[in-house]
Amino acid sequence: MKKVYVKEEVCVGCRLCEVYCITSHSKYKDVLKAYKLEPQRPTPRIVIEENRPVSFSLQCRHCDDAPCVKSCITGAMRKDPLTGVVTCDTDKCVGCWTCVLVCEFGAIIRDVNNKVASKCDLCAEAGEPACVKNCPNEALVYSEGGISV
Amino acid sequence: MKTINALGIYYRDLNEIIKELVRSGEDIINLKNVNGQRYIGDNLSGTTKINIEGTPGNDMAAFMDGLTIEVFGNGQDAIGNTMNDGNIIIHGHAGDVVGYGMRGGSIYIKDSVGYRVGIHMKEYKDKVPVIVIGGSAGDFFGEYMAGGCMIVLNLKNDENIVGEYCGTGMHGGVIYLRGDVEDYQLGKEVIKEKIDDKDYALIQKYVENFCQYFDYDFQKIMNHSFVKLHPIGKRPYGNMYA
Amino acid sequence: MSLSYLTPEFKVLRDYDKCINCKVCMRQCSFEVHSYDEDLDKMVSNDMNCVNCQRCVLLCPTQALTIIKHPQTFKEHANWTYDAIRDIYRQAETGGVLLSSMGNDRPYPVYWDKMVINASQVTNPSIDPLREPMELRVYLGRKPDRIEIDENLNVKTKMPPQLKLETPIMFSAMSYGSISYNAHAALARAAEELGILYNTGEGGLHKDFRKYGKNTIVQVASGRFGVDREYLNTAAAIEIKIGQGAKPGIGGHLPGEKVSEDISATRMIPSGSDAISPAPHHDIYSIEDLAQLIYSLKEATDYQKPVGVKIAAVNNVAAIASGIARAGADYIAIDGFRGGTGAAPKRIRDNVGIPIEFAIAAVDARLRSEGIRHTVSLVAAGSIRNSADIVKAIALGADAVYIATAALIALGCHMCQKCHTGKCNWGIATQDPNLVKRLNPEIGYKRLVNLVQAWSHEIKEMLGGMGINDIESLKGNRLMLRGIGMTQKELDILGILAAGE
Repeated sequence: MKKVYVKEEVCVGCRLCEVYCITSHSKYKDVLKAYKLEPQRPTPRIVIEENRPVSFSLQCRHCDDAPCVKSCITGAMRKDPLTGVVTCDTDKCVGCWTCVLVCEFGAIIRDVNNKVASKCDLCAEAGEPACVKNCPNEALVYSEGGISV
Repeated sequence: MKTINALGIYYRDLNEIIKELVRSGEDIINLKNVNGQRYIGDNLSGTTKINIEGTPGNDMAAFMDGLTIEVFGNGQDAIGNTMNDGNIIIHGHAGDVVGYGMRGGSIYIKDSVGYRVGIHMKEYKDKVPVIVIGGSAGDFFGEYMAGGCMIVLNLKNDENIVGEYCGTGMHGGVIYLRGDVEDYQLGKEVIKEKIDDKDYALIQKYVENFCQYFDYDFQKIMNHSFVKLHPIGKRPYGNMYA
Repeated sequence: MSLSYLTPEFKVLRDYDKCINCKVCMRQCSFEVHSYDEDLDKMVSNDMNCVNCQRCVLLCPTQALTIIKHPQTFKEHANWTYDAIRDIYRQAETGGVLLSSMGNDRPYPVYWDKMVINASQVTNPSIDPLREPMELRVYLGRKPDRIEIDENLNVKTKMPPQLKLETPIMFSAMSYGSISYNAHAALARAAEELGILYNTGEGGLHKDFRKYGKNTIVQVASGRFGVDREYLNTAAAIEIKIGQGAKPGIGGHLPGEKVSEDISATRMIPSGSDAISPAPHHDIYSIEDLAQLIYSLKEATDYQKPVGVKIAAVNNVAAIASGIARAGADYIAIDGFRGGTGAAPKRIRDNVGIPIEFAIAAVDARLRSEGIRHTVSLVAAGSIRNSADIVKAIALGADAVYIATAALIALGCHMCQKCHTGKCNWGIATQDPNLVKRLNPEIGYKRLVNLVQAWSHEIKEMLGGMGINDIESLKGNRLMLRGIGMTQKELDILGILAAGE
């Protein structure tokens, strides 16, 4: 399945991926409106790791045997059998944060405003992840086999 | 061992012969009646030893990377130009611009050298070029030095061990003088100091080789005061630009 | 600390209706212009630091930023201009020599823009480049006095070493040190893909780029940085740098803050020390000495590689070039006074040297009149901005051109002229690893390939329009040019007629 991979040697640490992740999961889907109009801006679903000069964005790896799915107490975390994408059904999520603890990559973020888990869903609605599309230096790649593809 | 009579041979032909021999791994090449042929040893590498009788032309051992060349006579200008490795021994004087941009290897000269010797010598980690001069040196000695080590012994007690503008633009490397030098002779980027034990040990090492090559008395040479010249800082022109 | 008399050169205009406080501008500005003020809860800017590199403008997700020339002016004065006054303030404050980067920005006339190109009408039909073969390939190097052919029409004469270029454009010398590793990676890869050459500049050749050796010209400059056996053996050609157009007559200076560990290893000088290239090569004090160095390099490479010489365009450049040709050079690169640089004293950059247009015309004419034009190839450099400049340069006598500023602009340079600070926000003229990352060589090399391919096609169109299908037929073909708005003397020196003649 296609996942998001990072070329950290060309990540410039601008965090535009974060801006567009927030935008693509907002009500208005427009950067200006998402930031200015929505009183509760969505939490980003990616984690930016930085230790200058190294920086990169970390997304959910949509693991084959996802520990978050196994540990979810309500069944909100689910791996779609067809696409392989692991998503969190926020209606069912109770904000227990077990998935946050259990994720080996630290890729799940606590959405403290809505008390739910915030996790990359590969922008399933849009078709192409917003972070990949908007990275100004082509540091993010959406592919099957890793960076070299 | 191969001996070649270089009398009347054009430098390009002579160098082709030498290159062939070096490439085929010849251990010793003796050149006789050398008379001004240029570029001997140019860009050659390997372990061959070349013995030269006569006077080699300019740019001997330019870009050389290995090899040992021993000249039984005087050398001309630009010896060891941008030399990377190897050893040169000259039983006589050498001309101007010895060791320009030298990056490694060593040059031992029995007598004096001309001006602009050791310009912009460089070093990197343990790759340190060395020039040892038995006589004295002319003006602009060690100009722009960025690394490397030069030692002047002034064994004939010439009036001036080095000329003027010694070490001007120096921003690396070190010069040892067996004797003393007046402040007016030094570039403004240089400071003169007494040597310490580490310096002494370093000088000893190279003077030992010098004495071996030219049959001098080690004790007589070392039993003398030395001064050390080195740059004030790495960025002599740091404040010049706005 | 006393008052500084310098007001900001640029002003940051931020549309607060559009600003979303995402802080991308703050993170991306190496000059520390933007910051977030917690108390005011808005982004604020320190205009004094802004150099108009437009990094923030382009990365802002809502296009909220515009940089303008600061509206603060002096009373209008045709002689004591804004720049003239401010230069004095800066020198009075620092006592330093004013440094600047990139090329001469003074309003001297641009002679490329005073020449127009011919096109065929009726008598000599034009050629359609989209459907008929066009030859842009050139060979740089010494050509023999005559060629002998055998009965099978094969060339019997032994040719001196030649450089093959698929198009008459090469990337000019920019040292590793003045520009970044990633910039070199982009240039090397683009040169390989395009079938042309790039020049390492005087900073040595990084070991990671040795694989591009067939497309590399290495430079031997007065500092002799990085010149070892592998350097000479890997290269396709060797260029002795006598001077460059941006700073004729003086040496080079890479400030210590740009000498990182990697630069230190490639140049073999202590890390953090200034890298100084002396003004003359101290073993070249006459034309005979130059001949000696040329032949020492030919001897070093077994006479298998062309050895060229790069000079700045100065008065008497024709006589100098004639001497260099007779000294044994295989090609002469002439760098006009508009040439770029990583750092040069402003006064030298802006006042020393002559335009490349005149230099090429004068050198080509002189070498032809002396009957030695075939013994060297000429490469023109010094602000080639587009394909029309290339066509004009070749018509005036060049075999090929060098581009550098244009290549950097293709990589993202915005001509802020602050390369000497080492803080290039586009990752080009810097050694700071945080900044170097910004230039993705994968993207960079494609942009360079695009630029040169686009220009090559435009050259073919112009050639076809003139009724020529081979770039060699354009070389020195002054009849293809006409001058507009030039004096008779200028027309004479360029060797072209006035439009209408």
